[in-house]
Amino acid sequence: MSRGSLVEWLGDGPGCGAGMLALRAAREACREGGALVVIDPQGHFYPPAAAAWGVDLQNTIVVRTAPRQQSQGARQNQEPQNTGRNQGQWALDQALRCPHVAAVVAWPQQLDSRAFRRLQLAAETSGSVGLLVRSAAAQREPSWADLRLLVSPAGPTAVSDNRNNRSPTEPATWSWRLRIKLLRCRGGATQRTVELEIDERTGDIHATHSGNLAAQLADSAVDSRQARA
Amino acid sequence: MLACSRAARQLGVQVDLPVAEATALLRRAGGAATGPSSSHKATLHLETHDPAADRIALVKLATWCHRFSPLVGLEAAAAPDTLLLNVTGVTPLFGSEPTFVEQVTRRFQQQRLGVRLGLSDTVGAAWALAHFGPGNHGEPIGAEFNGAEFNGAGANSSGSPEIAVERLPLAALRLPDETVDILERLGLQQIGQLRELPRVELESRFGPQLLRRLDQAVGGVAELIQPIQPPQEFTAEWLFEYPMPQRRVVERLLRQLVEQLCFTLAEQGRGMLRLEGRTVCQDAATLRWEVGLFRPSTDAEHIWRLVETQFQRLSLPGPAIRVSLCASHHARLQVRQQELFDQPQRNVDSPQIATLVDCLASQLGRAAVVRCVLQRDAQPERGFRDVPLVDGGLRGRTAAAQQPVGGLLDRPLQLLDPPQLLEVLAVAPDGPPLRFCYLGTHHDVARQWGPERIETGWWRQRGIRRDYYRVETAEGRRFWLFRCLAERRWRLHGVFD
Repeated sequence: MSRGSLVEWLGDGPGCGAGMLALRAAREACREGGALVVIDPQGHFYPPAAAAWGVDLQNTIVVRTAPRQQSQGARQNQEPQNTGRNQGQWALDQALRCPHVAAVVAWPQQLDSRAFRRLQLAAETSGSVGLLVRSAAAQREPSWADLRLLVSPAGPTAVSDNRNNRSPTEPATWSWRLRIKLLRCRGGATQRTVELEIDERTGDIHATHSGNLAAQLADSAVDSRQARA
Repeated sequence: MLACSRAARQLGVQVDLPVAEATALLRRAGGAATGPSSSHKATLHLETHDPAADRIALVKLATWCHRFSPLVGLEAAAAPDTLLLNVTGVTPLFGSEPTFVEQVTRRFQQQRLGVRLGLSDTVGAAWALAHFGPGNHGEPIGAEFNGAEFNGAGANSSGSPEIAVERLPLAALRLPDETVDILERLGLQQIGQLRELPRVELESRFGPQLLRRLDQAVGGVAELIQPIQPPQEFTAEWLFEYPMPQRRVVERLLRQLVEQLCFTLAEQGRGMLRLEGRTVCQDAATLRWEVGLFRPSTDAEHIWRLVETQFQRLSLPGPAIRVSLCASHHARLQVRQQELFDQPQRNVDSPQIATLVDCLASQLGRAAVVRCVLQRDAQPERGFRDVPLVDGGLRGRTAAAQQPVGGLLDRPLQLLDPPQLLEVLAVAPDGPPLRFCYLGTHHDVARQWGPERIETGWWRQRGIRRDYYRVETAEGRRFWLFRCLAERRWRLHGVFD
């Protein structure tokens, strides 16, 4: 991931870990300093999980755009759906424009091409990384993101070890397997698939098949930089 | 019992009475009053004494008293209960001294407060008159609910303080109780008698305080009032000569006022934290709006941008008559040196972030832009708290961050609030569901972790008892669900998304 880029994480159905991976990427982006902004349109973001996942909450600004109780209630009640979405997009745009924001994680519902382009320009000018977690249905929509990744579950871990010796309540393995498919990459090869394993005890992510994801992503980042140059 | 209302006093409750006795007294009175003639029953309402709150209230009252005098202070005592006002040269503005006293009393009564006044040339004599003067008789006053308590005023307008305090009891000298006790045992009752005794003797027997208090009462020694400063108000206002229907003009004027207010604040080294605005319109409701800021600022350009976004949402219901701004919260301006190069350490305290937070908060509301603080609470929904960043949210930064408990993937990133009812198709005995339906899709559970019993204490009004399971489906999706032990139903609480 290069600075000033947008990355789309498309989650293939519920419970597939796309948000977790995006948050991990955001954590890496914040390593050199800068704030993390989380734009939470539905009010579902759960900070304790993020903290356990290694995100520094002290350095995180959470923007809850879901209008719960607001002073301008009367005006917003007229079209809560629409304003809520627009506000989320607006907040995302503003956060991406701020040069001292290292990464923005957002769950945008819908993004039309123009709004998407605006976001991309915003990220490019400020140098922050925008991580957009969306549903797999967004595959058909146009994208201005530098990277578009489809995250899907890779099935349960093949129980190869001695499960019979353990009690059924105790898990045999401590990892979570996810599959990432590179749908779009600026100037890079697409349609590559990587399988990841998240170690639950250490939080390490390592690739199981198709080579190293980090290397692949680094390649694509280099490619995109070359493409821009 | 430190103070009581007049109704209680009529039933025999006195200051210094133990609470148990007062309760008993009232119960007896209540029992006696339950005859056919009386309909109301006396109940004792008790409040715990809070000296700090008393002091705060008195300081507030002192601020209010600035309408009578430019110099108002509290008496110099451990537990002050008296306000001192320097009214030199003030009384002619109210007419004369008696009319002044009358007006002050009336204004206090309008505030539903009882007051005892003493007016004299010295602080000591005025204090003595207020507490023990004619008509005051040392009776306790209290802020009565009916506000009818008024004990008159001991005003000593023409005579000297010596004559005024001559016949007052020794307790009027603001002396420690022991000293007064000893003096009374020696047969001394009034201040006048004390003044006839030789000063050297008094000093050697009772120390310097007795003479100082005596001199302060009669004017031999000067006494200063420690003034209470009224809180500074930063306001800017504009009155139109004729009602102004044009919005553009009102906006331009608002901008001018913002600049003016910023200038005034900057002069005092203060920065704005919250700005409240009012636009009074002809024949229509007053428009009110407010702008909160993340850090104190006097940057007129930035504040105007925030004001503009707020103001643009409102429609002017009628021609504007008056526009006013008030910086209701302000704090000392932190001067920050600009850096030549972009510093490598960029964090939440940077001015750029402050601008972003202000901007987001003015559009979305103060409660929408927050920092989350973890709390130690068993109930997952209460595991964190939102701290709004605007209006000095940074102050809480020093609080030690609560460390998350449990494993890395124990909690889902997306928590459904409220938990969704889950259609469960098959359940293992005393275990998690084996098959459930979520969003129209059937999921088979392949792996599970749990149960994790989460139960809150009986003191919670709506306590919970839940058995949580973390499950992984055959496809590899992860969910967090629980069985509510009270209603014996399954609910989905979170999605590992």
